[in-house]
Amino acid sequence: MKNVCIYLQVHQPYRVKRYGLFDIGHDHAYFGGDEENDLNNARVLQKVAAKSYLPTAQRLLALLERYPQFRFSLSISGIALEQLERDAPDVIDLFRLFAKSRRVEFLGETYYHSLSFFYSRPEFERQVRMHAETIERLFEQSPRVFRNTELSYTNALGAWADEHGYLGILAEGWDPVLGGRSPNHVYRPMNARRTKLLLKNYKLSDDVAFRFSSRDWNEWPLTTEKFGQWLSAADGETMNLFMDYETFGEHQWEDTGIFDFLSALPGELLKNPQITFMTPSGAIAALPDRGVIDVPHVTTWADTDRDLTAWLGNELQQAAIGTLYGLEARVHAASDASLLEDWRRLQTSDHFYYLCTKWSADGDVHAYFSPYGSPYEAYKIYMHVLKDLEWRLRVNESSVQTSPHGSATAARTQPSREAAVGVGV
Amino acid sequence: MSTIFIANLLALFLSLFVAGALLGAVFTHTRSGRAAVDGARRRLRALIFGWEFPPFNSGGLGVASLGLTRALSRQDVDITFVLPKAYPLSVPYAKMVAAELEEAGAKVTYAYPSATAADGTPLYGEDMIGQVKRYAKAGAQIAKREPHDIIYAHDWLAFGAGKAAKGISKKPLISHVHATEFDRSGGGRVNQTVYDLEREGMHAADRVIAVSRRTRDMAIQHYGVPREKTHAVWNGVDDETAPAYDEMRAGRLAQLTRAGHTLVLFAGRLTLQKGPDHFLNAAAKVAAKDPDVLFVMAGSGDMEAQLLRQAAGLGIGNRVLFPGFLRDHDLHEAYASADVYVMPSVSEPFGISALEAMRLGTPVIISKQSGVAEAVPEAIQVDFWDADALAQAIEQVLAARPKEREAHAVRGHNAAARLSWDRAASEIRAIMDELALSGI
Repeated sequence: MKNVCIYLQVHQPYRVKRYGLFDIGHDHAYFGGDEENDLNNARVLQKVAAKSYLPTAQRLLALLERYPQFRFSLSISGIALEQLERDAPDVIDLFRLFAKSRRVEFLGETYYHSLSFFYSRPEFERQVRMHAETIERLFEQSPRVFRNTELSYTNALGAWADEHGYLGILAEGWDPVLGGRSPNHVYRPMNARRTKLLLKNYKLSDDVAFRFSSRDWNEWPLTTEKFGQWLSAADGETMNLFMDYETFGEHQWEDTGIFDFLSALPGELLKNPQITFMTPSGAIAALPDRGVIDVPHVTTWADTDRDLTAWLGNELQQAAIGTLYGLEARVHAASDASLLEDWRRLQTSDHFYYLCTKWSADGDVHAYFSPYGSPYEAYKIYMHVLKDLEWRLRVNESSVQTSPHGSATAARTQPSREAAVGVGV
Repeated sequence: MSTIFIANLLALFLSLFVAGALLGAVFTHTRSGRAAVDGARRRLRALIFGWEFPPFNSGGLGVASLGLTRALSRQDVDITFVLPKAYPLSVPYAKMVAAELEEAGAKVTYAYPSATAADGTPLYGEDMIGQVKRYAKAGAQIAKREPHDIIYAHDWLAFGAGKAAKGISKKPLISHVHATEFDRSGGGRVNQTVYDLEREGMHAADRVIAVSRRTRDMAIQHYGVPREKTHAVWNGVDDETAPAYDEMRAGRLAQLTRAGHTLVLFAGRLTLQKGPDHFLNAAAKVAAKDPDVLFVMAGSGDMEAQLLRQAAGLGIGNRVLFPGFLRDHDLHEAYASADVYVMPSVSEPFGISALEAMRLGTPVIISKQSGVAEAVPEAIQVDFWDADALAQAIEQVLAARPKEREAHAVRGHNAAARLSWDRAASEIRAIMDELALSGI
């Protein structure tokens, strides 16, 4: 038997609007871009919902109805769910029908699609809990398989998932960590007692996600027949096709034929009686593990380096994320819900991706996707926003002072110069 | 070397000029400019070639063009001000004329600082040298149509037009040097084409006015201009080119200072000449000791990406804010809100921004390598390359007690008030009169 295991990622960040020096201390609505551009989060979400989320969901629901064997999994960031509930609730309704089918698995991740695992374990765990609660509330499932932001993975994360009782965890099937082995098996993380590892078959996944519409590709056009032959010919027990949900309709537009490909694929694959569909949990339950995978350094699913350098590779990214996590203790001490939420929304990995300069000479126009004019523009805006966040902390801190008995009291009884600021804000 | 001469034969009006005893040619009026104008002085018609004019300007050249034109109009000079391109500009003190050059043809990679407007769009297309040459040709045509007694050209961009006009009308020509290629390159490679145009423009002129003694000496040493036809006339500041203190006090940046921050401001093009990298080196030293200080680097330019990386690499990414190019109200608000304004230029012909900040009561630290340092000895001065000295100077200003701070502000404000555009225009009028007298 040959299993096909599909996982689709749904995610939309809260993009930071254009924010300048003179906004600091005045405007705290960082994500409230309302212009007709790609920094208007509601606008982007509705556009992607119309182009991808809704039409893809309708096709997937039709497939679930038509083929009782069809299964797949989704991972949806908490902030994507939050935005969908507010700005495109139709999408949530369809996703709920997925859950009702009992053949769609919802995976666990950080609520804020963050890199917090690498900066603050307590923060990471809080975000994972928040996400699980949201999935339970909306889809009446508890995530049993975990995938970390950008499919980042390392032995330490495998050990964490094992400690926390996950059945499995997803990672990139990157050749150096496989050491000549096939990605098409279930493996074990280092030192894991129970948790299993599923590795992305990046070749087959990227044939769909990246190369589908590329006319420079010698296999273009990709037909379901051809793709079915490749799957049938592949060795191993599970073909893990991991990609963005937005592949369907957004990264690959409807006119490339991507929807027809999606609708035809299960039927084509099921012509081969050897092929079946499984969710990650199903694959882990059904298939034996074939050994341990050692990943001492972080791998991700990004570009040719498959590491974190797309998010954390340059000084700007390091300054931005270092400053952000450097505020953690003060943010918690402030006991201000909106401040905490803004700090968390600023953790989303996309903010750091926009600062990436690795594919471009300084000052060039960048070929990769970003709603900002350049990584430098994005950095300047992000650092202004962080300064405002810190400004709010300063105001908060100065409005609370320690009484002679050591307990914190509001400064109203003895207003200081700084405390007066807090009142006016 | 002291010179006394009669300024105006027709009115028998006597002006007394004392040239600086050692350096020779900074003219200081013995009487205030306004008081000296008694109405009997002959009116002069000046044909002035400029390159930019507020609000269509990218920097000091435009500001000086406005300040001088307006102040000269009060010195009995009737001005026709020529720009390469037509702008919706109308001012009561000059007739604005456009040379109406055709749009740039071939693109060249060498773009000039003054070539862009505030938002970064090229004012004259990318073929700057080509535009300068076409402007020169147009200068001759304009000289035929516009009656004038004297020709005046602001900086190398307009020198060619001034020279061509002189070729037609044979009237005396004053070339005003606002910056040289040696300043703009900041110690880097000098563009030979630009140098040649500058040199030609200075040699064609009957008088060369430079914005400082520093710049005048460059004209003499690097361009071979005879000392006797050079003058240094400092730039100025007044209500027309910069706002007064009171209107700027309650700014949006006060929120930062109210939260306990102090602000150290850099404002200028982010390019080698302005020394932004030296500013960051000093900033790192100050920030290491002071948890409340913030640095603001206002401006845009070819070094921006490098500076962002430098700040992040120095570990002060969260202490330096880059608001981009600020102009008008935003810029003046930044000056007024700053606890100290730093101008660490590697080579600054003058540095009007220092006067604008002083006028708003903000202490300034300027590099010894700036022309304005001659004019305001009361400002703190350091070598641009000495990050330790700059850091110490910043710390010293930030540590000053309110009383010292107030005294410093008053001294700076008074110094800026002393350096008016009227003073500069009165000195220039005297040079014009001298030219008329000598019958050139």
